Amino acid sequence: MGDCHYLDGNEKAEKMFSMALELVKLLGIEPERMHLEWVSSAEGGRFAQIATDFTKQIRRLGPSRLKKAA
Amino acid sequence: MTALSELVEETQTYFCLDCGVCTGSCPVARVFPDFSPRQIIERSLYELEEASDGTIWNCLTCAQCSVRCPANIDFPEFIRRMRDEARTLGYDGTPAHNGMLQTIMAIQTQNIHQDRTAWVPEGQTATTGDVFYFVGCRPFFDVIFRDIDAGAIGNAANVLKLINRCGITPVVSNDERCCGHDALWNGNEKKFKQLATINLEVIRASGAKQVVFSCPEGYYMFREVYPRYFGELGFEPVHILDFLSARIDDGSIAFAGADGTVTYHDPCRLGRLAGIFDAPRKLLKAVYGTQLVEMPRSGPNSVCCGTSGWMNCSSCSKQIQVERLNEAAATGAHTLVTACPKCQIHFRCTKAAFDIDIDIVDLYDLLADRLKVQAD
Repeated sequence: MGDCHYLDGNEKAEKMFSMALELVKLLGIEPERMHLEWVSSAEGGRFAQIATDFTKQIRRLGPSRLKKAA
Repeated sequence: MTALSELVEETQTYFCLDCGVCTGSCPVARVFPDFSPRQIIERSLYELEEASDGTIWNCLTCAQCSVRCPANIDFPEFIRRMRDEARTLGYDGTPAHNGMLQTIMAIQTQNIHQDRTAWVPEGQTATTGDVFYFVGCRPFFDVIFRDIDAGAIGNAANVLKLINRCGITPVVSNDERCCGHDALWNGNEKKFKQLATINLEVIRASGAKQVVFSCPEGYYMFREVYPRYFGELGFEPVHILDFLSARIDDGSIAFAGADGTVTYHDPCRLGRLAGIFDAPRKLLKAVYGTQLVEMPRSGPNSVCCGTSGWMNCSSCSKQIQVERLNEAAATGAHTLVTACPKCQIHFRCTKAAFDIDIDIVDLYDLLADRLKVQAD
């Protein structure tokens, strides 16, 4: 942590993510729809793998019931 | 007939005497002279005012103007309807917190299964019964405002403790939605109606005859606004302050005294709009006796906490809040007591940012702490 191009940007991101995760759970939305991972700009292959895996996970969950909101 | 002339017709703003009491009373106009309720009304009469992203979004809808208006013009209602019109044209003011709270409200209009009652101690609530405790948005505030130590869910637990101590095990529901207050005042009547419809279904299904509120906005909405849109509710909205006040009178609860000087901030929805001024003072006097002191602007003249409906939080809001906290400190009180989660959030935010030396305490936290085990 803290090893970020934007100084403490990743620390802020983690805080924001955990807050959003709590809100999502309160609202009864599947927490598996959210994912946080640290990927450096030099890790192209790893980024592609994570994005592919997460896409598969979302496809498995199917469309959210919230499609119409907001 | 244009939308504006129709609005003028229906809200009867043509009765305006041009006296300026509204602008003279307005907490926003004090710090932001470009905002003038009197001029907005006057411009509307000449069809010069338009539904836009302009000044109509700066109004706090705190009703300080309308309670003083000699022509009984309901300026907040006029503003609300202007906003509704503006929204159809794509304007929405400036939502605070990047619109996060408006998004939560929008999600709540959908068929979701919330998980918002994890804070409830086991066995302290029921799924059906005569009394429903409408918790309000605290479960969400608890997460969003943790940084400024405000809006904590512990307060709802304390309200529940007070209700339990009166011998009642109320219904608390995962299906409760936002009361729709902010949606309505953000000019989104449609969203308000969707939220209110679900709340009415949930409460009616619980079989409750009374619904207890600790949030001023929820209480005001259910008592004054829901019947206007939905007719007879089939249950009675009760504010926890009236509920506790009656139980002090009959001796079923009592509070231990405490030292220190405190002052009380009347939330606009609870005071001016719902008329509850005496009950909070009676409860505070039960704890602090004569050490409850009043600010110059109190009771019906209480000033708004500076932001409403989670929008247009600006340097004007901060100035209103700083002035209010300094006013509280100038009474000699060490504690400012609030009875509204939003007032608490706004004041704690300002206290943290401006380092003002006064404690901000929630009335129900204070009361639960001083509750006597057995009334003597």
